[in-house]
This record gives sequence, structure tokens and C-alpha cells, in this order.
Amino acid sequence: MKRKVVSVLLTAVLAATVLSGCKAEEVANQNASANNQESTPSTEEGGASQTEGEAPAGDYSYVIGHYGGITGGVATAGTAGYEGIQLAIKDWNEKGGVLGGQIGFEFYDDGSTTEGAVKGVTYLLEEKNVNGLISSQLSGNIQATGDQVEAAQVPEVGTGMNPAWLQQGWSYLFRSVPSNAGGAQPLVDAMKSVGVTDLGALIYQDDGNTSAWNYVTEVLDNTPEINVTTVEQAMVGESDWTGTLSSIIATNPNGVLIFAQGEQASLMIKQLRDLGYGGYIFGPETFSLPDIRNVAGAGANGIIFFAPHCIPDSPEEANTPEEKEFLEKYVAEYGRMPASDVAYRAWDATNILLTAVEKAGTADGPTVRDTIKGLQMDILAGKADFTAYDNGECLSGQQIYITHDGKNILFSKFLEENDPALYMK
Amino acid sequence: MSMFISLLVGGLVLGCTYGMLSLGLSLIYQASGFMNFTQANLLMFGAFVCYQFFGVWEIPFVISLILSVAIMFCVGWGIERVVIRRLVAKKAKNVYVVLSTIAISIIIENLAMLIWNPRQHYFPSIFKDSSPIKIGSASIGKESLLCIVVALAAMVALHFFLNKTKFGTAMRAAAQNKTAASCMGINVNKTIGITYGIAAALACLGGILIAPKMTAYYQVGNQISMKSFAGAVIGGYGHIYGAIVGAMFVGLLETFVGAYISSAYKELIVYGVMILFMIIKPSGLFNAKVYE
Repeated sequence: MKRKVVSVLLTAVLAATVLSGCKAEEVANQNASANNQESTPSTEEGGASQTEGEAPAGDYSYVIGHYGGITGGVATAGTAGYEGIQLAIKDWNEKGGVLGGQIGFEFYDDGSTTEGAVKGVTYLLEEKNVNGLISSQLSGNIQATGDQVEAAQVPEVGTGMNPAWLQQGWSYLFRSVPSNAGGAQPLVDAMKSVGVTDLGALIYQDDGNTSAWNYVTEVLDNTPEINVTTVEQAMVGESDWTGTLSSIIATNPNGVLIFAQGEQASLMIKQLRDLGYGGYIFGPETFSLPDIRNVAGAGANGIIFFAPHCIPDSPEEANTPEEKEFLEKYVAEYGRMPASDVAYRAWDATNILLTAVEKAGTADGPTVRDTIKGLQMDILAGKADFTAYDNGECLSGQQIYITHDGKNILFSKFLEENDPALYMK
Repeated sequence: MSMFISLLVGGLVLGCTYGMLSLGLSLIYQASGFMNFTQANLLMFGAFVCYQFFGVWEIPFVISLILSVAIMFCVGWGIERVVIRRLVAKKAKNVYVVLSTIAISIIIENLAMLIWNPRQHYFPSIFKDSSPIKIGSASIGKESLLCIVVALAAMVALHFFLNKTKFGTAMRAAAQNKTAASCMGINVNKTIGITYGIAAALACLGGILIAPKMTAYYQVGNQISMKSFAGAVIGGYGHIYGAIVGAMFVGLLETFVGAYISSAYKELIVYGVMILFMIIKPSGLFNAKVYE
């Protein structure tokens, strides 16, 4: 009898746990889809969206397709991007839509994989006949699908930061954010300004991070003040880097550079701090992920990174009125701040695409493409000017931030108020 | 020297986590003769259940841990009772039973994804002061030390349970000869069910202890799973002590290769060693009975 009682109790506790988790997720999904006419995402890896009461594409004046990973290794950023697009479409639809009708949305969860992205783009172009695309934030996936997009003559605004995919000569691809090539020089300048002389590096072996590291290497080659003590590789799929980080520390660097996606970077920083390294850590735009501070705690202080956007702790702390407005809408919609700056990039990408459609007055791909090429507009990342570039870029350069006293602040402001060697241990 | 200590602790943390899974794999193989692919996702699910108690509901860690382990014990037992036992009773071929564990594993993974979403969930620090401990000039995370201590304690407790208790003796008897054990009045089905429960509880414990380092995430078990299989093979598949030693060996090998050779080669070397063992010494370090 006692055993039965214990079994029933434990089953009840498990059921409560499961239901509690489900309830939280339902609330999140409801928030995500409330007041939207577009489809809700499938949570199955590599799945197309399934819609309750989905209207055929013909009922919309313009349909935006999006492939990205709300599952897989970088789902935090992927989900933020998905939410940024949804929010922008909702915003446009509330203002009357575009081309005299509402804007539709089709989504394919590529599971953060290249194979999934290829399937997703095929699905969106051939099955759903979308008019325009917003890409994943994974540059490798944008590059893998570029030929398909070009052949279909569908304009795509990408959110990945690797310069490579806009150097292929494709004319239908555009970027809503400055490429990470512009982060290399200011990051190395920041290293010099805090007195780094010996730098160890850990590079996550994906397309975006290896490419970003190559740009930093080019700058470091012309910086005799900084000696690179070792460059270690972090393989995709790993989650423990004790050995690799220990070997970096053994080279006695006074600065460590980590180029990785936010999810991996947060764990790498925690593990590096646990191994006793207390000095400056340098990274790319993925370090703006708020979870890095949650995971690494006080260990996050002393992280210096380049980024086009850096998410503040609340809308009130936004750097510009446009950012404040975006964050207020985001918080009103989802009940929380964005978990990744990819939400900013996706919001900007959607606004660029829809502004071009509105100006073009047609959904015709070649016409919208040509309109984007002549577009100049204010976006969250700054003053976008596609006429200044001939390859789909609209911005260049990056801001440098530092995590100090648990907050991400501009590095220039930090230098004004603190000793540059504060975290030089 | 400080690097060596850091690597040793890091390798042992990984080894202990792999060991929890390897131990479960070996227990189940010994008790039922089946390979079991649910262990990795039971580890993941256990970490999530504890995350729910400790991270979301803010129940004290020790209570959260005990509750989670107890729940996962019931889940493991339930899997045996509802699925495995029925298939065995219908005299299904071994491959069907193994395939059913793969199916259950996928169901568990998808359930976790649906319940807690596919994003990483950061497990709160177990200690209020999360600064590392200094051993000489080496820095060691408190959670890493806790992981090693709890894992070793669980392994010692299991040793005493199997060797010094009546039920443990019954389990070993049932594993050696089911018919003879049954004739002696041992409830063989019950012992197999409890073995599945213990394996799930061990996986859960492993998941909880590694979660502060690797987060609670629906795919967290996948990497660990493959390494625990390698550990079980190197130790001698089905041998309980072999599983622990093999897993420790894999954890240390992986960490030291990452430090002294390159992170790029550690997978290649770990699985290369596993293949070498399979070819040259398939019975593993502890001479397990793996031949037909």
C-alpha cells in the first residue's frame, strides 16, 4: 500500500512538472502568435510550419518566407530572429499591410542545419511561392541556398554577418546588418588599449566564426605589439572544453579571444573562469547574448566584444528612440526582452524588404530587388544605405562594448571612467 | 602542475558523467541482455526535471535532486514494465526490443522539447558563491568537485547495494541465470524492472551534476551517450566495474588529448581507441563476456 502511495505521489509530481513546463510554453506560443495571421512554427526539427486556419497564400498581398532554426544548437538566436520578423509583420499589418493587403508569413524550421536550410528554401520557394525571404542568421546556410534564391529571382534580406555570402556576385541577396569584417580592427584596437601583449584564441569551427577570426588574424598580422600564443579549435557539437582551455591558459596569455555562437560562448567563458583565468576575454557579436551574463555571472565582467547591437536590460536603457520603440513593442508582444540581437537584425531585414515592396508598388521580384538597391533608410543598426555599396551591403563598421559591473556598456565610455588595466590579471 | 590538476578534475567530471550512463548500460545489459538507447535522453530529461524543481520552482537543490532521481527511477521502471516486458513476453526478437528503446529515446527527446522548448536552459549555480576553489595554483569549480564526489558516492552505494543486500544478490542471481533464480523464488521481472529504474536514476543523477556545466538542453545527452558507449566497450560491455573504469578512461583521454594534442583530434582518438578495443580486446579491460 505504501509503495502505491509513493508511486502515485511521484507520478503526480512528474505530471505537475510536465504540465507546468507545457503551460509556460503554451503561454509563450500564445504570446508569439497572438494577433498574427501568420503561421505558428513547428517545434519538430526540420519541419515546416503548420497553421491553424491558415489562409492560402493568395489571400495576402505579399508573403514573406523565413528559414531559420528554432531548434538545434543555436535555437536561442533563431527564435529571436523568428520573433523579430513576426513582430515587424504584425506592426506592418496593423498599419494596413502593404500593396493594399495584409502580409502573410511562411516559416520552415531548418533545425540550424545547412541541409535543413536547403530543404526549407526549396519548400518556401516551390511549395509556398513566397514573394520575399528573410534568411537564417547562419551565414553558411545563406551561402548554401544563395543559388536557389538567385535562380528564383526572389529578393532575400539576410541576417548573417559573414561577409562571404555577399561576395558571390548574387544580385537578389542583401544584408540588414554590417558584416563582421568591420569588427576586426576595432577589436584589436581595444586589445591594444587595455595592454594585451599575449593572446590565446579558441575558435568554434563554424563558417561565421572561422571567417570572423580570419579577419582578426589579418589585423593581428600587422600588429607587432600582440603575440598570438596559441590558436585552438572547438569542434561543432562539443560542450566541454576543459582540456583546450587549459592548454590556452598554459601559454600564459594576458588576453583570450573566443569566437563562438552565444550558446557555446557562454559555457566557454564559465569554464575558462572556473579554470582560474581572470583577465580580458574578447569576442564577436554573439557575446551580446544576455544569457552570457546569466551563465558566467561575475565572470562575465571583462568581456570585450564588437556588435552592431547590444541588448540593454530594459527598453528604458535603449541607446536610441528607435531602439526603445522596438524594445517596447517586443516586450509588449512577448513579455520579455530579446534573448539575442538577431531579433534586431530580423526586424530590420523585414522592414527593409517591406519598405522596398511599398516603394516598388509591386511584389515582382526583380523590381523589388532594384528598389532595395536604391534604398536609404534608418534602421536599428544605423543609417542603411544600399547605394553606397554594389553588393547588397548597407552598413559597415561595428561598435565595441565591454561587460562591466554586470552591464554591457560602450567600451569608449568604460575607458573614460576606468583604468584600462582593470581586468588585466 | 596546475594544468595537470585542472585536466585531471575536468577529465574526472566527464568520466563520472559518462560513468553514470555506462553503469546503467551495463546493468541493463547484464540483467536483460539488451542494449538500451534510452539512457542519454533519460539523463537529459532528469536534468530538465531537476531544472524545473530547482531553477523554476526554487526548491532547495538537495530536495530537487532527490525528487528528480526518484521520479526518473519510476520512469525507468515504467519503461521496462510498459514496453520492454511486453515485447519480451511476446517473444519479440532482440532487435525489436533494442529498436523500441530507440523509439522511446526519441519520444523522450521530443517530449522535453515540447515541454521546456528547444532552447538551452541555464541551470542556476548550486553554490551561492560560485568562485572556484584553489588547489595549489590550480582553480577548480565547486560544481565540478561536487559532481565527482556525488558520482563516486553513488557508485560506491550501488556496489554495496548489489553485494551486501538481499535484493542486490537477487538481482545478480537473476542476471546470471533467470530460470534458476526464478526456481529459487526470485521475482525476475521485478528485479529487471528495478534495474531499469536504477539505470534511469543514475542517468538522471549524471544529468543533474553536469547541467551547471553544460546547461539543460534537449540534445545534451547525445554527445555524452556516445562517449558512455565507448566507455562501456573499453571497460567491457556488461561489466559494472568495467563500465566505470572505461568511462573514467574516456573522460580523461578526451580531456588530455584536447589539452596536449588538439581538440580537433579528441573524438577521432577516443573512438579510434574504442575500435581498437573492439578488434584487439573485445572483452574490454575487465574481460566481460561479450562473445556469443
